[in-house]
Amino acid sequence: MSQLQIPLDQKIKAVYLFIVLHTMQIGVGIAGYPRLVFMEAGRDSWISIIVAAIVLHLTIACIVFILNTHKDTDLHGILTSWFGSFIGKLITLVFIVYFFIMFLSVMLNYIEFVQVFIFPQMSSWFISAALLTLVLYAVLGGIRVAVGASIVFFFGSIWMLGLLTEPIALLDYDGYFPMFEADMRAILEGAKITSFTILGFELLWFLYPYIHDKSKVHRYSQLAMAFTIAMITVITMVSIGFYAQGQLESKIWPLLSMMKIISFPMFERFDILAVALWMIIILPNLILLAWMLSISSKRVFGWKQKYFLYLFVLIAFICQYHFDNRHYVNMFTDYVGQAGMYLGFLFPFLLLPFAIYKRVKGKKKANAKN
Amino acid sequence: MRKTNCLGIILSFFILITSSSCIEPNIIEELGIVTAYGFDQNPDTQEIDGTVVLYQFNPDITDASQIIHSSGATFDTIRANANKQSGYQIVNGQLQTLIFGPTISEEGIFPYLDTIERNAAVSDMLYVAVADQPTRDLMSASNYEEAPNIGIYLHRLIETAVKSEVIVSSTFHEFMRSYFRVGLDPVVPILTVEDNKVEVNAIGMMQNDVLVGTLSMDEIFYARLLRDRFKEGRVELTMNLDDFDEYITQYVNDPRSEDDLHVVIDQLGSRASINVTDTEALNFEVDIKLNGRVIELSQRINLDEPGPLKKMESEIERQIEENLIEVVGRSQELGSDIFGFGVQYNNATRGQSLTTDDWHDLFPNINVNYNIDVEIKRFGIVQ
Amino acid sequence: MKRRFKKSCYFPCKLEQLEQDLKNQYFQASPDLASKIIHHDGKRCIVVFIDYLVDKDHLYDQVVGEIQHTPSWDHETFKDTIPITGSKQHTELNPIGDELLEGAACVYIEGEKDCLTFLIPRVEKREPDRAETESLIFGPKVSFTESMDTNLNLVHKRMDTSSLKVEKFVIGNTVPTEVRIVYLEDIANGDNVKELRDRLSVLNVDDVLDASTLTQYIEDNSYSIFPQFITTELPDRFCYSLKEGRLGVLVDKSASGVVTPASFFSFFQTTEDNYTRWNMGAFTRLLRIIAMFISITLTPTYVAALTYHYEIIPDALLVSLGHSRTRVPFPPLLEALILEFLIELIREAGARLPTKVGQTMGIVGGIVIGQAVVQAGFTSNILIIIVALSALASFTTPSYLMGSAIRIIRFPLMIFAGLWGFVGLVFSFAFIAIHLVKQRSLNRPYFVPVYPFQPRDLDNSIFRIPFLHSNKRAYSNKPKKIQRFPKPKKPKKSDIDE
Repeated sequence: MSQLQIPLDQKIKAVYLFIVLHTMQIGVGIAGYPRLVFMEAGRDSWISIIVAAIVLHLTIACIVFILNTHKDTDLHGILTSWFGSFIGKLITLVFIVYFFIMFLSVMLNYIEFVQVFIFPQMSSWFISAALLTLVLYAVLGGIRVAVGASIVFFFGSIWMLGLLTEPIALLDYDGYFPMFEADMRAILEGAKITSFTILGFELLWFLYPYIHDKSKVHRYSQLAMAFTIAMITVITMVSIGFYAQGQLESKIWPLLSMMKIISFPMFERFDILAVALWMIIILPNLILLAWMLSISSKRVFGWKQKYFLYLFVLIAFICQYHFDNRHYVNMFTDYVGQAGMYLGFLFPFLLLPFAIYKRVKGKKKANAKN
Repeated sequence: MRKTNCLGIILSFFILITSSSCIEPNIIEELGIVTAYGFDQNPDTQEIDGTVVLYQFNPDITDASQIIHSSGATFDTIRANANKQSGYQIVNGQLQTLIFGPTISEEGIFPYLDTIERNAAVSDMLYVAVADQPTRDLMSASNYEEAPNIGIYLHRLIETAVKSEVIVSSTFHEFMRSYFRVGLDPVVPILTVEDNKVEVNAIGMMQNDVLVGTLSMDEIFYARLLRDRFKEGRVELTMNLDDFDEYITQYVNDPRSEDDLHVVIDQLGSRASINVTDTEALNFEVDIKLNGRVIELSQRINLDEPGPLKKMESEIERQIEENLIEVVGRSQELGSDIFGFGVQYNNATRGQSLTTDDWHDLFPNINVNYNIDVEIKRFGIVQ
Repeated sequence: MKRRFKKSCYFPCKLEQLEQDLKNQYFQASPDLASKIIHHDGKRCIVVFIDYLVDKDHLYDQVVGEIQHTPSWDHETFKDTIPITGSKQHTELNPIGDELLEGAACVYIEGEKDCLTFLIPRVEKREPDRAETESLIFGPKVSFTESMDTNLNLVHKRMDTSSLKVEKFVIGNTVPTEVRIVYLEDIANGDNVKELRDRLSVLNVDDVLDASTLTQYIEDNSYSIFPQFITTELPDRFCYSLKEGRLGVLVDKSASGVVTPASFFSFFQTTEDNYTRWNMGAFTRLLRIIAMFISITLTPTYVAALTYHYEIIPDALLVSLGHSRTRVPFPPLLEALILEFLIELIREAGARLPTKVGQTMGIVGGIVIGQAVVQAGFTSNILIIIVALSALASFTTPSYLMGSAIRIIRFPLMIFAGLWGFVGLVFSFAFIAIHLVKQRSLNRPYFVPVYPFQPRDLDNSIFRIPFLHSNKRAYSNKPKKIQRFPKPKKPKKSDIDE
């Protein structure tokens, strides 16, 4: 049970982790993030980002350390072999619930984008049905297609970052001064907000056994984190320079609002397309989460992965129908953030002593044999 | 097995299509597409009178432009009321210019901008301008060149002025940014009608969102000098001819004035920085570096020699400083910091949160020192 | 098919008896079974053949002529004297019938215990001609013909190497058809060969019409609109692909070869890209991919913009667009569908009609109808430009199948754009993207080099770099030998004037 037997042609190269983990982190959160962090840490948001970045890199190092203790198994397998099947199942179940709420929150947020920016009359169930159709279609192809879709969508959306040159040309550099005004508490609050945005790396727990070349896992996961951090730093700094303080605080989605000024000769308003294109930014999130949900459920309950996939899609559809309201969207987003603090950042460090213990014991055994 | 699954998904999706709720289309020929709004406060009622310039497409009439007058208490009511007079659905997605009449601009225009910011369909790149007469009259000016309607004409008019660095840009986004930025007040172009044609004749200095004064087209140069930077600007200065007596190679009789020397400088590049030297005493220092070429001189002066060139440069410096002192002095009287002194003050005083109102109290008391450095790089193909 | 004869050993028999039995029992009294009886030294010999299946010159010169001139009559001597390679001895009627159907002449000396057959089939074939569907401006222009011999000859002539391996399969229950797998043994990946072999050997169908039909039987996903195997009529493209490590399939009686595994981007390549200089080749290759993208996005974007997103239309275009739209009685979606349908009509009519009439048709359809449609206010003139542009762009795709796929895919995209604007458009693009990622060709990923991401293969698929620098075969085909030739030594770096 703890060791997973995965056929070679289902394994993916470690280099894809760079894109997969990055796309997992960037989703709906980034659109509203500059405002949230600015409201906490002000012009010194970049310090908050650095603080969060350090914690993030340490966390990733910790996760990879634990995963490397056991080759070829995921979090469920590790927990089962350390604490027995019951605790293993329980904690995996907690992760499943957490990822499911994350899934819902991403979907609900995107629905809100579409309704606010393009089609106020478009019914929510319809958008969610469209998204879930794509998710279902992709995840039925297995891990290969789930990862592949993320990569294609990453290339399909990353070019939008280049469009920031237009707001950058309109930056007001006075907006960055005076620096170092925020106090410690504000910086830490900002770092906390940042950590909500960069959640999603926890997928590594479950993706690890599917990686072909395990020795490179650490390198590419760290690179992915660095890329995400660089990206949110750029976006935040551009937002701060582009908007005046009061203005930034009043924009719910500064990034999307910033797109309003981008225009092409034959395409006057890019923001309309940008919101539609946001679909391919969030689809990797949804697809990978749905894949993780279905595969982990299979590991816990042992039925077919396919049935779980259908089940989760169905539940997500019904939940969306019930929670179609800005209030719930916020609530879910907050839940995910709070849970992410513990499950994403704290949890790996709790496991660390056990991993060290196992390694030391393993070494002793090896020595004893010799 | 997997293939049948795919087919199932596709089929179920097509069922969804047929049963789905359709969204209301905005087909272009059924829309009245607004390009400009003009707002005036009605003196008799509490309502706002709106002038709506829009396109309505009609197969028989080539001129798609329409002007509708309507009134209402809010922006959106004006739009809705205008729709009562039109067979087309009036939409704001192509809005390019917003003009406020004198009655509103003296009261404050911010309340009317909220819906623009709130509405995702409206672009942030529209121009905000103020008229010196009721917008109803301004927008019925019938001469708008080759533009399809007056709204587009107004947009082009302001855009050209901004691009040629004659006025300070005031797109909606920039207006809001200046409004929200502590220590910086917005500026707007002021439009007027001359010979049945709209033109930009001044820029308005705002205190927050209230128009408090104007700068003439000549004075705009000085506001821009501090607030923005020039890449290829142009300035005309009038000097005393006596100062250059010794350098004039050949005196020509000038019908304009016998004592004046007119100098025009273009390709003007500038870089200005405002520094706070003393936060307590509110002392500021402004460093300005200017360079450009002489394009027109009313008298022949041999600029190839260091003497006259130096003299010319220092004379320009003196003139610019004089004018700056005058312009800044006036803005201090009016309490409108359009130059951004307050931003630098705010940056220099860390730890103390300055509000816009605080700054408006402090601004009239500031003292500014100018260091201007002018360099004439070229003077055309004659000496 | 096989008929049972009562007697296990048929011979010896009378000549007339043999002829009668063949005619009645095997050929249902076919009028085309001809025979000739030759007398010599009191012995009688019969030559039986099917009139239209044998080569008459061979029959009279080499079979009948040799028999007449041979002094001693027995089968062993005949075998020596008759200079035909494919001779067999039979003791039963059944195989003789089969042989006759393949174009053999049957020779029987009265009283002998067995019967001789000589294979002298008449093959109607055309000479290799200029390629029609995949026309090239620059480079070899010869195309495959309907004859397997000619095709194999064309391939072998281009690749005179011992490592070229040909494997033979016979597919079809009703009409057995010869199918050959062609590959370079030292380059092609063994798994690929095994997979293709497996697919062909388990294929149990009545008949393979053509190479393109065969691909539809052995494709990975037969529901997809995208072709998964390249079908080409150019021997040079066929051979180039083999050299890259792909496998080729030739089908008898088919004028096209099949190349596999194929990637999505390989459908946008021509060998011409390689014949022209690298910068031109890179340009045209990129041009085609951009054209494909334009072709599928332009009309749907028009529909989405005019139906929902009027904000994005630049103000210079707004007036002329709105003006020309006012006279159109349909919503933009219907307008675009009608016009696209019209273009498809003209294309299809042009393809079905004889060449000369087809040209006239194109002019009538394109110019007369196009102008009339705009004047009648049926569509806006900007849409005419857009539709014509996207039709034109779709014809730049070198592969006919892929070009058709792109043209057809526009229709659902238009409908989605017309129903849900950009959201619908992005949805359908996402769907296509997932589909392409999911797709496989001979169990190899279809969307390579985008996914699995192979930056080293970009020069083989999307761009092209000078040949000296692209000394490696495409990684995605997993060839046995990755290197085409050793990397050239870098010239010594020297200063400007040395």
